[in-house]
Amino acid sequence: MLQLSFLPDVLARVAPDISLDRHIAEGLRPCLREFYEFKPLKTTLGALNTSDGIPVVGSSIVKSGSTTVFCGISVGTVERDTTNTSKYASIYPVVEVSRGRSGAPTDEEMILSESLYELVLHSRIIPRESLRVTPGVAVINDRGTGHQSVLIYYPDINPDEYEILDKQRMVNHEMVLTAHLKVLSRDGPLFDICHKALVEALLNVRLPRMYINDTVDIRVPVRSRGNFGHLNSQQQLNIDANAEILKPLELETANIGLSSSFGVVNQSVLLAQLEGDAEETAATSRMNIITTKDKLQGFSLSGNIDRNMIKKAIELSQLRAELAP
Amino acid sequence: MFLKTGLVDTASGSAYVEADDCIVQVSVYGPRPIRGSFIEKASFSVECKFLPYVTKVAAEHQNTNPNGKPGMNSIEQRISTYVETALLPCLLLENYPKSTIDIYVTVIANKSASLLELTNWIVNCSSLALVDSAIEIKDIVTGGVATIEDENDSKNSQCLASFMNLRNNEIVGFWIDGGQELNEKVLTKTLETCQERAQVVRRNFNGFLTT
Repeated sequence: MLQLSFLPDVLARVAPDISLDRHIAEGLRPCLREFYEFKPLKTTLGALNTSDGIPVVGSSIVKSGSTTVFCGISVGTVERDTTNTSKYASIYPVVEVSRGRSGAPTDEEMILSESLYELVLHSRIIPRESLRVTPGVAVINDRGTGHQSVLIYYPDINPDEYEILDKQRMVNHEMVLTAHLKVLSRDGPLFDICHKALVEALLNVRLPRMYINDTVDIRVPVRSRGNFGHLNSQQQLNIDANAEILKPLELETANIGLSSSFGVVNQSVLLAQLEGDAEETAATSRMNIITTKDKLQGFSLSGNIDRNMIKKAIELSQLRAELAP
Repeated sequence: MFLKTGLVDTASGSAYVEADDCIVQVSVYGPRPIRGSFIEKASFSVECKFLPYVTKVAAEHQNTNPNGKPGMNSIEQRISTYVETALLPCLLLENYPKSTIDIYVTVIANKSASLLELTNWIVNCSSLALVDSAIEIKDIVTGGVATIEDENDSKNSQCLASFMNLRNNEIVGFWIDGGQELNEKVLTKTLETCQERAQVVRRNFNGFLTT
């Protein structure tokens, strides 16, 4: 009887399930990692802070295996929503996975974006107070000479000058953070690496200061001015381009977790960070665990996974979070 | 200048170029089969996208939400068209019936490069990606940008020309930006400068690809 035999890479293509089973039987995975072995993460910070128009306030590039994620965070302002009593804010991420096709975002991209938003909100990383805008006031000072100079006074840098200015405007605003993540070379579930990229970019954020224009001369005592008619009615917040007075975003760093994903193949084998089509197709049950070294921040599960396996996965994730730099 | 090919595993070929603060990444997908009726030659398309926070060059054309996922805006469209035109002569499309070859360009960062300089890097980077994809080509297209300076006028024009250096320096793309008056002498000189620069790029590519 003729027996059909294939080279390993051919078999992996024509019968990925059989190939995977044989690998697992040998105690190895097609990507040659161990069952519980995670891919190393390499992070570069701030490389995308290059544009001068839309402010990129923080950025990161994270590489894990062959996958690369570029994450840039930009900032905008909104009026404070007084009905929202939450003490913590989130960030609005848009994930884009490059796959050689254009068009509407895929399910995966939308789900990733949404779950990143939810996770950042519920893990209480960004206190809303740290996004609050206390605008400085820009004052045109001509000292009667016709030579004008503009000075911007901020409450924390120039408290004395700021005290006498009209500062009751535009105080009910806060910043919103938006992020764009571009994923190159996807080879497995992306939540781990996208979460890492987003968190690293958040840690890299340096918020610009904002100011409003004051139209009056500094020598005029502001409090005695009765007439407000000559104030600039088109009030707007301006972004101060001065890079020297950027403020880091105050984050609850203790709440920042590390995401670890697992899949279960053949009902019995727990694999860390699925990689490749064969593993992704075979792993019908999956877990995603976000944890700091002592606190569980997020947990999601699909399919049915044995209790001991969940325990093992949580232990592994916590160990990983503890060892992470 | 920093070059790297084969960064993207999911694509047939890819290249990554950093030139000063201008970072461009190109992925080539194809030849991919098409659905539907038979076509004798492969169809070829180029799509250029700026990451939303790249504002230099794109600034005056971008009025969409900075973090949205917009379609191509006019500047991306113009770059795509140029790249498509410049690369088309080097491809042997008739060797790939019933398929498509698609090039996806991502501009990751750009602070100082002008529109034409950026486009030039995109063309150069795309050529490298095509080589990496092992799609048959006649020659590697490279380009150079020259600035036409005017003594009286402060407004300088820029000229971008792309060449196939090993095919008698055939010009495959040509773009002038600026309102300057041109005569034959100026144009010849400009093209010569572009060609010299294209050859420098080509020499670098040859060195890169053979090591």
